[in-house]
Amino acid sequence: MEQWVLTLMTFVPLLGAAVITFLPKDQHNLIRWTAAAFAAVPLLLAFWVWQTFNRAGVGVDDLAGFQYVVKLPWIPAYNIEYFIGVDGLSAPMVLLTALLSFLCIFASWGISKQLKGYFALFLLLETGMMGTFVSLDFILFYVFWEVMLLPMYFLIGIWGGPRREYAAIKFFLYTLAGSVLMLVGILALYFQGGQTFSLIELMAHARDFANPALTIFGMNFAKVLFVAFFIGFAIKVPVWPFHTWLPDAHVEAPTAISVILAGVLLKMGTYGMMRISMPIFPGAMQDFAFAIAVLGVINILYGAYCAMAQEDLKKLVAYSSVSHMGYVMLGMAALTPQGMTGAALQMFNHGTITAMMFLLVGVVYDRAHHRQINGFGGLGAVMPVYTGVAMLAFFASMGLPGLSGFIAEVLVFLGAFQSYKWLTFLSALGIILTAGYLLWMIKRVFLGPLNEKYKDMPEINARELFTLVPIGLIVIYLGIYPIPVMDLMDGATERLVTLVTSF
Amino acid sequence: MEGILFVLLSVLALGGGLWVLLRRSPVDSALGLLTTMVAIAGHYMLLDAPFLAAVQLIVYGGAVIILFLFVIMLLNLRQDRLRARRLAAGRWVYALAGVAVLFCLAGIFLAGGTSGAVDAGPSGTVEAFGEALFRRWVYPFELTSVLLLAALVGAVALTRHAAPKAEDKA
Amino acid sequence: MDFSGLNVAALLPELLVSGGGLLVMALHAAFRGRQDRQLVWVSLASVVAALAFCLNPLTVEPGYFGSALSDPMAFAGRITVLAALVLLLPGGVAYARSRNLPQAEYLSLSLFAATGMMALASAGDLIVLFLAVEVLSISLYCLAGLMGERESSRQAALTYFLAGSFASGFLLFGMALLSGSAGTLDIAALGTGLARVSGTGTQWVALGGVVLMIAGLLFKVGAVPFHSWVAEVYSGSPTVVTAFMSTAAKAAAFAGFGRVLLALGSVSEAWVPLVGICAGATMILGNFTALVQGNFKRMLAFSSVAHAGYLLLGLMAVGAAGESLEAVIFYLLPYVLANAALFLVAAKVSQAGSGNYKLDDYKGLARRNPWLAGLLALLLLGLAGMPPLAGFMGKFMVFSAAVRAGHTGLAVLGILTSVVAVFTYLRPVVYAWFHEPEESGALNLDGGLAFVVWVAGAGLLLLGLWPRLWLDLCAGIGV
Repeated sequence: MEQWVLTLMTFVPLLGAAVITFLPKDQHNLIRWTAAAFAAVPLLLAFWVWQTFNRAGVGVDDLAGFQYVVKLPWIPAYNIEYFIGVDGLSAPMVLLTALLSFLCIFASWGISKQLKGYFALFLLLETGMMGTFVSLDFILFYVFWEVMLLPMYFLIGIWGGPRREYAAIKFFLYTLAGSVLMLVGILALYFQGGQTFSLIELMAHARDFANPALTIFGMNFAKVLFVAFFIGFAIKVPVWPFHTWLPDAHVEAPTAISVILAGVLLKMGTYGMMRISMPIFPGAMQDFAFAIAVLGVINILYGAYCAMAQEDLKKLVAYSSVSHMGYVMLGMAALTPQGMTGAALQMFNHGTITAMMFLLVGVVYDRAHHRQINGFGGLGAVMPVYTGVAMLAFFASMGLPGLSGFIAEVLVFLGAFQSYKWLTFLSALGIILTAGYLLWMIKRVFLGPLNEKYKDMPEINARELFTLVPIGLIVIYLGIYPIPVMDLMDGATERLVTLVTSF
Repeated sequence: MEGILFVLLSVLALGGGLWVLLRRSPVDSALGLLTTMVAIAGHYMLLDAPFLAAVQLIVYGGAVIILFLFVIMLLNLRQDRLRARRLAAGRWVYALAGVAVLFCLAGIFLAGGTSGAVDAGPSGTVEAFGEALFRRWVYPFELTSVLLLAALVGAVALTRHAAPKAEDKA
Repeated sequence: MDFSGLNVAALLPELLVSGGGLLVMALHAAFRGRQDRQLVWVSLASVVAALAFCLNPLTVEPGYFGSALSDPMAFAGRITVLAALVLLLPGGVAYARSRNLPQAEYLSLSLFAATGMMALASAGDLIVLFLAVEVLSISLYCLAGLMGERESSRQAALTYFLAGSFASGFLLFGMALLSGSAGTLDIAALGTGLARVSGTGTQWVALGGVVLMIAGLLFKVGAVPFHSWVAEVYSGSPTVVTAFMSTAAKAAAFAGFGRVLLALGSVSEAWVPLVGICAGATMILGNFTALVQGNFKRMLAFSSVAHAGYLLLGLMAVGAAGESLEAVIFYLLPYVLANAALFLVAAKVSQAGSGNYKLDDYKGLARRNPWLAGLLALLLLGLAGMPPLAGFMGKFMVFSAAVRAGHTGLAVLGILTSVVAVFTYLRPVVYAWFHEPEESGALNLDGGLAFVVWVAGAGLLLLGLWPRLWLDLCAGIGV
């Protein structure tokens, strides 16, 4: 019975979306609370999964290590299955998705335009995200991956800022270009890997794929496919130079959607690399590890530099995401247990921290209706509580010890240093740059002389606090004691590293 | 003897076809068509199908062409009312395709000749013809009737309802 | 006389539908056109009766000495054509009434055309194949010209007629060469007949026949390089007729095409490169031309050219690798559902707006009718091949069949051009959802159109999630 928990988590939001479309249009609170109720179910279930998750299981390429597995035939002619389950790689992501989705319902309370459509699409988006993280069948994965794309497109395009249409289309086309590359790869794998879409079974064929005699378009099969999948995922991360959709999408998206975008969707890129690229093409991963590490470092430095140059608070946070996702890439490419755990932990932590930052930006934007960093000043005096929460988020983002960002970054550096000394050294500069742009921004926004225009700015309200405080507590808790999340992923990340390095 | 007749009839048939296309007067065209039909009846004779040849002469040469001529006379179609209409889109594709076909066929016949393994088929007596038409090939026969019916309904619909109103006055 | 090989039951769907066409004309004449409003029910009754009969396993035996087949391809083709009729006829009659077109003629010609289409999908020999093509073509030429007071409609009918006659000539000539050299008219036996003459001089005659026949069929399905008529005919014809052409007629043509190529599998090296080049060119040209259209009807016209490219790719895999026709059979149904509904929506939206199918008419549609705008998005994205809608499964099956048959390059090309297609289909969606309406006021659908749109939308979703529903149904009937 309990193996259906993942199915429930995935499809209860879909049910919620369907219910919401039939609610009366003008009952705003009813719609909001219905959405919240349907988003609460996956959160409770995710919490339960987190509690009951067997930490001894390994997962990755070992089906026995997966939990709550459901495997049913879906389209037997093509061997496509409804095959879902969680292991150490996906469990934290599922938890993160459920948490952020629930909180974002409350962050969307202020939406007034076409409320029904907004919440229905939002819940559909949650279904897509959950499904992507729990899928173990490649086609199922792909379907959820695309299902996620559409609501996101509409959420940006209808409820976004002034240039929403441009941002939405750009987001859509970039992601779609990535996913069709993935589809080509999926088909090629299907025919080379014994006509199966099961990720686990494809991993078992890793040796066949790596056979140097096997070519596609005259080039090595495994390498070509690795690159195809890498680009598909890299667009989502986003890895430089595929990152240009991100600032546009973030600036135009409504607050809650930015939170989901940065908190969950970006992680899908790196999650895909860990779940798919590394175990299916371990040899190619070894060959390309250095290149990925270099791209990671570029992301760290380039993102940080760009963040420093931004005038728009939200763009700054967006570029900080580019920078922080670089740590994930670097940790992953190090192919050491610490690096990999650091990367996985960074995915979770960045998800929480960046969510806080976007929510905080949303709070001032709702009051001031602009996000110009230079347009504020001295907010600390008017909004002490808000400033306190903001400091927590920004310091966590900087990687201050005692907060969750620190642990992940230290692990990444420790792991990466064993493999790439110089690159690690370079990337450490990123910490300084991060501190630079964040502190400079804090100085301009929260400190200094009070901008008279905002002397009556109302303090952060209870609903906004409700969205921020739970994440803040997690950030602090994991900063002091990261084990509850780390022990989820330890087995899987170690297994992943062995899988690649021993190939 | 047969070879000479075949060539002669073929030239006559093709010439009649060209005549239909090239003459502007509807009456001339109808007469060209008649020539083609008669020549094809001759081909049937050569193929030892006298019944078919007779039917061809009576139905096409007799009835159809006469009907055409009647219609032309009744409607009093004059040359000046028949404006040349051209196939606007992709004329060149059609022309090229036609030329390509010509070359292909020439090549095929030069390369392989025509000594195909063609079945002689039933001899052209009335019995054999009826047997074939109303048993083995009764389905195509029925389908042809649907074809004619559709053409009939379509012709009525086009002439009665869909005439270019503005131009009638002009 | 011995009629044991007849098995009239095998032809009942065709008989019912053509009988319906006849009855419509008879009733029209008997009531002197005063009861034309009721004729649509007579037509629908004959279609539904045929549909019910198709689903009846009685028809499994081939009939008429093997001229009328009852295999999965025939079944799928018939059902697809009949489904298109069910969706299109009510809307079509309303369209005809509102534009003062002859309703009875519209209905009976549609039914005759459908007879030809079904006969084509189930044709067992070349003679029936050709006659079926002619029946459907003649009916469609006339339907295209029904709006004769408009120059565009007359031009469409004439272009369609000339291009179609040309194609028929190719087809017939090719058939003569092919059947003459293979010594048989039976489509399924063509392969063995050709094997007998291979190595002799006759094989060149046969190959010439194959090429000519394929050229004729490429014409009929509107593939590059014989696509030039499509835009003019599709945009000039009455919209409900265009919908019929691009759905049912295309499905039937592909069924016939598939049957011929399947039989010619033994000489696939002769035609695979040819069809491959055409398929690639069709995908590229169709998608890119559709991309730049500012007119919704023309956009759908070119997108249907693009879809012909994907279907050709599926057919190639069929002939070359002995694959089953499953991919093509599956691809057609969601394509037909979505296109039928989209053309009807186009007629409605255009009538309420500019009157000439401008894409601008879709601006702000979401404000005027959110359900319609939502379903429009669903249908367009279904055509584009976004999962989990059925268009994705269709493309997936076609591409995987192509990869399995060794046409990886073309499959990649197909996937890449699908991205272009997504962009094309997104434009009306963007207009509908992200733009402010130019005209205010709700845009309400009448019951018939709402039914069509909902059925098509539900069908796309259902077939996308459970593609086996349709494929098992097809497979369960024959083989």
